[in-house]
Amino acid sequence: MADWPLIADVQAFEAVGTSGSTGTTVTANASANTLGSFTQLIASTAFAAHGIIISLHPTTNADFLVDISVGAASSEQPLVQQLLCSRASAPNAVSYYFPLHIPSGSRLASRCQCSTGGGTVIVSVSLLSHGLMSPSGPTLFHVNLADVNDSGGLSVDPGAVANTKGAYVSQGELADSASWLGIGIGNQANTARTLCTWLIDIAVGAGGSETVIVPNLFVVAGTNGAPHGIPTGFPCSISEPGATVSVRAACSITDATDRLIDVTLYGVR
Amino acid sequence: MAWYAVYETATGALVSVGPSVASPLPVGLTAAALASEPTPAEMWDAASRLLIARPAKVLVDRLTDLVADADFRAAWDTLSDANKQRVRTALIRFLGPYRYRSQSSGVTLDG
Repeated sequence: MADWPLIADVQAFEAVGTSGSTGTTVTANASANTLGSFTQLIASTAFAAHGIIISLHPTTNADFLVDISVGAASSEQPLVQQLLCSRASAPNAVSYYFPLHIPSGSRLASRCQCSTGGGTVIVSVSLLSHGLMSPSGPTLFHVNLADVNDSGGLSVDPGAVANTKGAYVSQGELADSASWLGIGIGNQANTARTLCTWLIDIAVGAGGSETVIVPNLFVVAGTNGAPHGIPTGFPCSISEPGATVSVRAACSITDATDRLIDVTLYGVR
Repeated sequence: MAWYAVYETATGALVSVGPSVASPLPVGLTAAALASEPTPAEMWDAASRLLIARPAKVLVDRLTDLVADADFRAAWDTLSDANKQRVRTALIRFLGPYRYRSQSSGVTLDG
């Protein structure tokens, strides 16, 4: 299957959960770090999709983990899980793309949890037929490094020397092999940051023998804004299902709290 | 699950933190077992080769920054107590979620 069809008018897009100039509001459970109820995005999709763009816009100052699921009400099955998005004080949005199969006629719904409880995130989705890296067989999404205890990700400390890569941080093995990687960046519920930038490495290998596979992904944060800017999805082959994966970063500042950043990884096999 | 800190033997500089350690470790590195997965409230101290408490975040009220500004202070000092309170109330309303800044951040709203 071609990544981009040579014949015009083959690719189709469908907007899901949008109206006017916004998406669908999804509300977290009133208790912090607890999933809320599902909110329907669409009752029935128009065609068999091979890719999904998920845009998330938190409207509460908090960290969020967001699920997109497929299936009838009360029988939702996870499509993508624990997508990380954050808001400090300033508005923020993040968009993820995953090359995933979604059958025609699917009902899509979303739910979320947040670090404060009761927060809201606006979710909008675009479905693609014949998307980038259209999968030719069954697809499997897996999430890594997300932390449901604080609705964040793996905390990465660039260290006390500015503009110098800090230590690798790992939580162990990637959940499965991957041909596509997605990366989430979180704010650690920091409501007042220092303007700064990061360069982030993704590596594989056991502690002390890491090898960088994706170097220097750029992230920025404003004075009152959550970190953002990282490319959230790209082709990346990790063929070992049990590869130990780690993250490290360099930061332009040394403030002991403001230099910290949360990272999540998502894979599609 | 056991957690380890891998550091440069000579300097104590942290190289890696996680549940796996290369075997054998490259020359010049040492692996130390940790009691548990480190939290964001902890950070590595190269001198002691231990995790220590991370300094607490300090927030600064931008109202304090304003009063410390020479131009603002010159006008502020001419106000009656009642008008100072009115100005303060209005500034709090207008600053909204941007009232507090990180101690490391500059005084301007450059975000």
